[in-house]
Amino acid sequence: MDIRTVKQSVYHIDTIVLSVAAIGLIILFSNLTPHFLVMTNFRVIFETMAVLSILAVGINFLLVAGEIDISFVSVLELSAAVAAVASPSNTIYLIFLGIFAAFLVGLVNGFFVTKLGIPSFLVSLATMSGVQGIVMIVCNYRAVLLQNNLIPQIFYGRYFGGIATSVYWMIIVIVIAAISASKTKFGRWIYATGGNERAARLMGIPTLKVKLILFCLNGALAGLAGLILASRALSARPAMGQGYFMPAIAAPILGGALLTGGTGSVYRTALACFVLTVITNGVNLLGLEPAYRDIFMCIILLSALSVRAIQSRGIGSKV
Amino acid sequence: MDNFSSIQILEKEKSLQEKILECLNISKNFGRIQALNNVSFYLKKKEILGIMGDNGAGKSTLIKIIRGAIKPTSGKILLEGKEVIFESPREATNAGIGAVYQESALVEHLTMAENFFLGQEPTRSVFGGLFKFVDYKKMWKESSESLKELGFDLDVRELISNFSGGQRQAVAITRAMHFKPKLILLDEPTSALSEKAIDILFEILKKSKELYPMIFVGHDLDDALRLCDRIIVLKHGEVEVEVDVEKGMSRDQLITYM
Repeated sequence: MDIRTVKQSVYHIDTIVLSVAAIGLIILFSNLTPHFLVMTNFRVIFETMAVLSILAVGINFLLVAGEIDISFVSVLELSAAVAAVASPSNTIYLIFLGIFAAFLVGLVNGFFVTKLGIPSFLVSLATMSGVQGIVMIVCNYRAVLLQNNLIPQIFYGRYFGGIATSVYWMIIVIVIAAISASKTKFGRWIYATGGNERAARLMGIPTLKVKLILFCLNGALAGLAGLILASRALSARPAMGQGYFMPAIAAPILGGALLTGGTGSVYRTALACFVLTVITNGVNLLGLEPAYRDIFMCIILLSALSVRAIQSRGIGSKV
Repeated sequence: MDNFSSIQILEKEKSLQEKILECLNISKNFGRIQALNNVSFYLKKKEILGIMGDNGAGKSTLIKIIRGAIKPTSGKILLEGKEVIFESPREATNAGIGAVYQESALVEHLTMAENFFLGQEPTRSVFGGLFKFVDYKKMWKESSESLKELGFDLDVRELISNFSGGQRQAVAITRAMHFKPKLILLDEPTSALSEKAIDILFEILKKSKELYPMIFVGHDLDDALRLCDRIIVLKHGEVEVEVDVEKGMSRDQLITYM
């Protein structure tokens, strides 16, 4: 990465807003509770951030391509439920089953969007409901134990310095996603597809194929997140992922993605996930009800969007 | 075989070689609507052919067919004498049909260099050939050199949205030429440009027609008369008239056909 690219991303308004928010929140919570600014708590923050980041990376790519998938929470639950219900069984088979089920939902979403041209919001609204129903039936309306010792080790085991492996999974996903986005042809095609689909198609970019792949990828990432969550809880149950719905869509948007496509950043999405997780963590430590966390998130999201709106209007008026 | 007929055959072969693109009896129906009806024309080497017509005359349908974006209901396309069937614009590009569009087909959020190589990004092998990364240095160098050749000294690492209409169209045209196409389609390239930008653009196009024969599609007859060597006028999906600009009819006569 050359100096100019680094400068551009550092001076990016969303990077500034997110960094200010992160530092401000850390200072705020450190003053409010002595339990916040300690090593163990930051380990907890990164561990809880993992599931959110993995989900948000998938959503970020879809937003960049000008699409959205709101079914990811049900897909996460599906992956966890399928693996738990099929256990005890061979570990690789269970992992494959969970991620494959999630991948299939992504494929279904992608099929209806790219082949039939139905808006992705509506398609995933439908599949969200359908998959929720399937999860209920698969789990028989209750929590199911994950009867496998190896899966929790793989996705939530504590090996290096007592940090759960979910953090490493998160780092792997973020690094691969960021490199793919900026360094590979496919990554550039995602930005072109969302930025100007007609232009991209005219220049020979297979935009529909790009979108289909992203829906499948998003499904698979939700599947991975589901396995991590099941490994943490050692079980699966309907509605176990509900808390991730709002932050996983908010994070890419805080990171610079527009609903109209063409922009977005993996690194800034990860930074936004950190900010949102710090809020949850701080609210918990203060002993406040989760309802305050939701209000906090609302304020953060609206403030960030306002800064961006005012900034872009400023640019617009100069022209 | 007598001399006369062998000369005829030779001439016929020569004219076949000169025809870089030939469209034969192209028809296209959208349901009951007939957008094109038996349209035939050709493009010779070193010429700019104008395809004129009002909105709804079938110009954009025709250009989409040549670009492989849609398929004709019937008819044939010959590229250098060989029949071609394109399944996608990508296949048309690979076969040597470059294109420049009305809105330049540029992506606002990408840099000029990225737009220049849109869909054709050069890559380099990394980690011993395990992965292929986009070669940004090559993109910057080649796009800036190509633009310089046509007299544009621009910072190719700026976002394309920071450039003027004329500069953007210059990128689109240089981009089309960079990949050494056999011909270039110009789909209403002047519609978003100022008079000054059009002058510069036409100068570039006239200079380049020796290397790249072009099809200029538009509805401004004055533009076409300034730029083109030959003009065909489409009306209601059919070829209404074909004119050789140097020896043909006047603007006023021509306009009656539109």
